[in-house]
Amino acid sequence: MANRKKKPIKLSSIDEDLLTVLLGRELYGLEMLDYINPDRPGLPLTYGSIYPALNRLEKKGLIESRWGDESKGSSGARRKYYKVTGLGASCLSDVQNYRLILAQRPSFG
Amino acid sequence: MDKNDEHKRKVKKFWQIKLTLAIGFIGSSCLLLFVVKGLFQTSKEHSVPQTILNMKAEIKPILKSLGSSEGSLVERKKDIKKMEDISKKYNLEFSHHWSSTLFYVMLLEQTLSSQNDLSENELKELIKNIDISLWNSFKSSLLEKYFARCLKRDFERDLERHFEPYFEKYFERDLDQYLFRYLKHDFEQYLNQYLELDFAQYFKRDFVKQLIQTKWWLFLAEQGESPKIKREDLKQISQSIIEEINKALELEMSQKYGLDLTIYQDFLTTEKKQVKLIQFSMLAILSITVLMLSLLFLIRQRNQGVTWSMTGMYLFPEECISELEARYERLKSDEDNSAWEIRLIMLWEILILLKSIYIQVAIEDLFLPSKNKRD
Repeated sequence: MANRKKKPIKLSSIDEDLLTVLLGRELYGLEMLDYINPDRPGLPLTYGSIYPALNRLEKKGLIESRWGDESKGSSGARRKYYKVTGLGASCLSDVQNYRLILAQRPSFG
Repeated sequence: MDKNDEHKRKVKKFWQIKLTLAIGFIGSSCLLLFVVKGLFQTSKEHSVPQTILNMKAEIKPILKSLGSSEGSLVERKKDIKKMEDISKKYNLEFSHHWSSTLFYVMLLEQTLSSQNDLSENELKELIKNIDISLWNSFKSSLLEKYFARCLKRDFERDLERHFEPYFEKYFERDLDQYLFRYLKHDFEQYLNQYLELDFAQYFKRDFVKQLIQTKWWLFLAEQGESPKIKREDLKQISQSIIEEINKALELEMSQKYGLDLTIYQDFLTTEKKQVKLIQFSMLAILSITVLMLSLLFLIRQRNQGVTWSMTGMYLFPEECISELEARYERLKSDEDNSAWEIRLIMLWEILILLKSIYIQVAIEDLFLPSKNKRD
């Protein structure tokens, strides 16, 4: 049986940032922004900026979520905590390895 | 689940009532604006005495009837008489000069036509009632010219031969006949010099001269001569006279009562104006009452226990509400931020979130697999 070729997973820069932050941690949205925004070049991210990325990563199976306790607000809405899956960790390491190879590649000509 | 449903029902009812009250508030505000505008306009409108409205009702049909080319000369003379009577009744002067001129033109038109409703005696009687003062003033100016010319030749001889016998015996009665017999050539030359034959243009410039012109033609027609004018041209003149009468009436009404008959089609009497003002006042009271009540209920709704977070549960997923609440708490705890700054930041966050959820995520979900885990 021929091995099924692994479908390549595309990662944007925000996706990479989120996977990097969530590696070895379980965080909710605002906490992720507390890690990402300091010293970040360009505009600081808001929760609305990372929400589509979180949704995308969750649906691709790179991260997983769980519901937390009820918040202290009047609405009683619960927080969602995210963490990286094995697939997510593997994708991230592939991307980081590629960058290392790229940096060490000799110049042509 | 039941708690969630009850929660949603409570929020839904809150916003439905709020929307209804808001619509009532806006509607009553618009009604109030309309009423205030109506009140302002009505109070500015001129109210006229009923007598003036009666006058307008009496005179307009007559002018309309005179303006049409139907009707015999006798009927049209009756209409002219009625117009003069109305003018006198309401102490107006718009028919002064005009009615006699109109009659002359109509009379001339009739005289030149094949049909004549008047008998010879009636015609002579009518000609007698021509505005004598104007006719005499013209005659005297003509005679002055003639005398001036006679002074160059033999004044005494001409005076003795032509004028004296007639002046004493037949002064007014036969002077016209004399003028016709001896001074017809001079008369016509005088007219040609001062009254251009193109009377249609001349008419609008000088009423008196046109009157004289018309009387001269009438005189010629009465003497059996045919003045060189067309009947259609006379109809044009009579139409012009009707227009001039209308303008004179409008000008007089404007000067006397400050009314412009061309603009105001429906005048308000004092009583109608009062009724209109009362109606507008009642509408104003009603709209203010609805306005105050809707405002009162809107304010009372503030303490219903429905917060923005509860409302937000309808628009955003649960995790987004908790994140927004946490963000709000952080901004509040930071003393550097003023209340308005916090509101602006939260508004910006909400807008970005709305765009992300309803546009970006909605499009991306079309190309992504469904979630493996269920909540």
